Order: sequence, then C-alpha cells, then structure tokens
Amino acid sequence: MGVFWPNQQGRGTHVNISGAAVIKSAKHPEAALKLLEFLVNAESQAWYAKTNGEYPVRDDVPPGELLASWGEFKKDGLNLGQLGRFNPEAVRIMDRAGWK
Amino acid sequence: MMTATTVLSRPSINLWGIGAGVLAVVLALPVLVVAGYLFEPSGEVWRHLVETTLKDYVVNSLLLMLGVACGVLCLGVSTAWLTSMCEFPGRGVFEWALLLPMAIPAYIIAYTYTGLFDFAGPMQSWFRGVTGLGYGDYWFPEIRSLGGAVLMLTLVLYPYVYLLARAAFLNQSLCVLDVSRTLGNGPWRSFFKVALPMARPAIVAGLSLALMETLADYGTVQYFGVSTFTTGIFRTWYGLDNAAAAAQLSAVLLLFVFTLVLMEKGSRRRARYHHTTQRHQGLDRFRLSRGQAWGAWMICGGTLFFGFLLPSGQLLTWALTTAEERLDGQFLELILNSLLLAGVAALLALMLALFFGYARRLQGGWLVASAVRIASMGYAIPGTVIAIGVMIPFAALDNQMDEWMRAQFGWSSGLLLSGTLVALLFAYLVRFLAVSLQTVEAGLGKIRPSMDEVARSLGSGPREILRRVHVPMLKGSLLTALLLVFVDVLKELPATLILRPFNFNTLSVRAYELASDERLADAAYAALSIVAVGILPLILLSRSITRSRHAKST
Repeated sequence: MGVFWPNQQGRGTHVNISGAAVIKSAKHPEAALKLLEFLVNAESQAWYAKTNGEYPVRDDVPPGELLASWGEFKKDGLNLGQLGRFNPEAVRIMDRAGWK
Repeated sequence: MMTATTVLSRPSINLWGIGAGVLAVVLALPVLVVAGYLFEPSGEVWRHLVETTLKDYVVNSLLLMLGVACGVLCLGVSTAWLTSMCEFPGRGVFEWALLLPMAIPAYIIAYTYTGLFDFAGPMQSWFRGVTGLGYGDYWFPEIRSLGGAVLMLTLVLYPYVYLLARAAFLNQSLCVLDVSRTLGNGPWRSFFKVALPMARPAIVAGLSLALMETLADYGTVQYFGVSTFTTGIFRTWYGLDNAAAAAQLSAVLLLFVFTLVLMEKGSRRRARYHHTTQRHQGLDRFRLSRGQAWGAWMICGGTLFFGFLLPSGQLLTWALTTAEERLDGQFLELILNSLLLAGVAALLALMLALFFGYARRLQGGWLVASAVRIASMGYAIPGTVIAIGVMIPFAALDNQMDEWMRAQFGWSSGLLLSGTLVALLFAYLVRFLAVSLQTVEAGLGKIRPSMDEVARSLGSGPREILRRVHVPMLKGSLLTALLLVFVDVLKELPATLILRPFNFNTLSVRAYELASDERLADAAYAALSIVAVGILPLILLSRSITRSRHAKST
C-alpha cells in the first residue's frame, strides 16, 4: 500500500478544497471579511495543517508532518469556480459511460 | 326529537366534507408545486435520461419493490401468526421484540451491515483468516447490491405488516376460528382458509406502507449504489441542475404510488369485513409440538437477530468506543429537539387522520374519497421533493409578507414560515399523514356501520358518536397511528435536513452528518439514540394491543 498521485504526466492531480464565502445579502460583510482573513492568515493555516491534516492554502505554510512525508506532487491548476458550471455536463458524460 | 336530529346532523356533515376538501388541497400543495414543473420545457434533458439511466431507475425500483414485498410478507405474516396464535417458549418476548427493527432507520442498518460484511469487515476478515484465502480467491455475497438493499429494507420494514397483521389476528372473533376448528380444519387450514383472508385488508395496508417506504428510501440505495427513482431525482436535481426533469421523474414515481394506493383500496373494496360479535373468549393458542416450536423459535429468533440484535449490537460496540467524546450538553438538546418534533407531528397527524377517516365514513361521496386519497399520497414521495415543494411556496409567502410589513410598518417580519418549525412540521404532515390515516381507516372499517346507526337512532350527532363510540373502540388503532408517525418522524432525514431552522439539529441529522463523513463509529451514538427512543413507544404499543384484547375477553 502506498500513496498514488494520479495524472502526474498530464494536467496534475485534482485538488478539492474546503472553502468559505460571503453571500451577497450578508448583514455584516466587513465582519465576515475579517473572519475570512483570519482563517487564511499564516497562524490559522498552520493550526489547520496540524489539527485536521489538510494541505494549507498558503504556500508559505508547510503541510503537516504526515502529508509532508508523502512528498511534492503536481496539482491540477483548474479554476474551482468552473466546477459548478461544468457539473451538469460531467454528470451527462458519466451517465452515458454508465458510471454510477 | 326527529327534527332535532336532522337539524343537528345536516350542517355538520357538510362541514366534514368541505373541511376535508380544503385540508386536502393544502396538504397537496407541495406535490402540486413540484408537479407544476411538469410544464417547464426540459425535453433535451428528459431525452438524455431516457437514453441513459431511466431504464435502470424503473427496473431497479420495480425489482426493489418486488423483493421487499416478498420479504415483508413472509416475515411479517408468519411472525404475526406465530406470536398471536401459537404457543411456544419465548413467545411473550417475541411478541414485543419483533417490533424493535422498526426503530432502526434503513440507512443506519445499511451502514452497520456494510461495516460487518464488506471486504474489510470482521466476517470476511475472519473467513480469510480461517481459510488463508486472499482478495478475489473466494465468492462472498456483495452487501452493497440490489439484493443487499432488498434485505436491508425488508429487515426494518416487515414490522409494518407484522403490526397490522397481528392486530387483525388478535381482533378476529375467536368464534370464527372455533367454528373452523369444529368443522375439522387443522391449524394450517384455519390459517389459510379463515384467518388469512379475514386479515387481508390489514396485511395489504401494512404491505402498501412498507412499499411506499421502499419507494421513498434514499439513504440505503444511495449508499449501496443502486440507481432508483429517488437517487435519480437527487442526481437530476443536484447533478444535472434541472429541477424540471427531476420533477418529471417525481411524477413518474407518483404513478407508482398511485398504483399502490389503488391496489390497497381495491383489495378492500371487494369485500367488507365486520365481525359479527365483539365478544371474545380468552385466547386458546395452538399448542406446538417440540419440532414445531423449534421451527417457530427459529423464524422469530432469526428475524429478531438479523433485524435488530446484530445491527444494534454493532452500533453499541461503536458507540461505546466513542461515548466519552460524544456525551455532552449538545446531545441532550438533540434528544429534546427530536422528541418535540416527533411528538407534535404525531399528534397533529392523528387529529387530521381521525378527521379525514371520519369524514369519509360520514360521507362516502367522491369529494371526500378523493380528498382522503390526495392527503395520503405524500407518504411515498421522497422527503426531499416534499421539502422543496414546501420551501418554494412558503418562501414566496414569507417574502411577500416581509415586503408588505416593511412597506406598512418599516419592520421586517423575517421568515415566519420557511425559517421556523412550521415548514418542517407541515412537511412531516404531508409525508406521514398516510401512516396515521391508513391505520385509523383500517380500524374504523372494523366497526360495524350498525353501531353508528344505533347511536344515531338514539339521538347522537356525528361528533358525539366519534367521541363516545368510535374513539373508545379505536383506542388500539389510535395509539398505533400515533406511535407509527412518532417513530417515522424521529427517523426522517432529508426533509429535516433541508427545512430545519438554523442551529436546530436533530438526532437523525447529526447521525447523517457524521456518517457521510465516513465517521460511522461516531454516528453510531446518535443512531443508537434514535433506536433507543424509538423502542419505548413500541413496547407500550405492543402492550396496549395485547391489553385491549384481554380487556375484551373479560
């Protein structure tokens, strides 16, 4: 058993994210923005890396010990904003291919 | 006297009819909203579905129903007959214990069986350890399959048939069975020739409830990767982003439901069953020989083991390993929230069911009949579809109200309906009224019309007859209705997930959240609580059925 990074010769391994956003009708957009900024500052990201084992979103924060031991890999640079847009088409392709 | 009776009865009869009609329209609102999407053009997506996945949805849904129907009939009727009419060691325990699987949500039993029987589970690991075989060297039944889904649903849904069949067997006038015996019929012949045909309305009612649950199930088939209508609707709505096509799939699903409802009514229409006497003697159960008793014990014990003991034992094991970190103040709040929701919903559903059932008895016209039919359609509609059907009109109403309040008083009323428990309770009523209604109707059907006629001739109005004659006679059925809805609401997941107010969590939602993170062991704690809370009323229920039988016999 080992870690396998798919697509290293091609576009790179797909990366999923834990994201946060502020909705248009938010009552306190400034406060929300401050929270987001707090969540992505170096200290918080280091805490996340240590506590729940996710890759930090900042390049200047190193991942946790275990993840670091798996080494570097090529990441897919796809803009995640596109996922929602292309999802229906992807589902159709899956349907046609018989994927369940 | 004569004029007084006429004056008293006429207007109230009309009131029953009109009330039933209006209530049915309100209850049908979510379905109508969803059905309204039928007229949105979605031809291209529909064509895509027909070309690719629709056949799977239809075939799998049908096979699932067929399998579950066979399963629940075999388990439900046989255990009901054995525990009510035969005497064997342990019968008194099985009598109530056989209801226990009902407290386990189908998706939870699916998680536990997957945990037990998949490749890395204890069963296969043990097998590999003993035989020394490795992956791919041996055949083992795949639990995550259509057959597995049939098994899971059968194990938790058979109590619907058991419960109603048992009530019917116990309520059968023993004189009929005695006559059958004096005419030379043995236990088997008495069962097939007399008891079973007489219990048929109750058995078919239980079967149709179980099949409606099957059609509405999402958690189990989704987890097992079996494509049915419900997973198809989710996939079309959230995956293909096409509400219109999802609503069209729902409409096809509605055809299935409608067929079931017609089947159930049709089974009852051909004959009416009234017992000629309400006098019962003490039950003289069939004495079983040693071999027969062993067989009876195996049937009841096996059902109980696989339907309850095994899965809840696994849950308990998981829960014990996580108890320390899961037991906190939040947990108490989860329990209180769940009890509150389930209790209020069950009570409201019972009141509505009594109203509909009685309106129908008073007024057999097409208006009331179709009102009742419409009101009981919600049961087979997936909770998600109902939730969205509730959300759309309620949110629109809330926004209009809010706008008006702001314009008039400069004050925002917020989300009065869609942001509170009102929306959720309404969705529960739409979804679970059929459970109450079928039980109440089956109970009312067993009371001879001559009882009403006697009471009427003695000068009682319809409401007084309901209060003083029917409700006391129906006590068993009413309790059954109350508790069936209570447990169903406790287990309900998708509608709760979508419609709950912010920061309002229930046990089922918490169990789902943890399980969908693959934290099965952590989810076990909330799941086990659902089971535990669901068990107590089931015991009471079983007791009351037996007691009402005893009360009659003395």
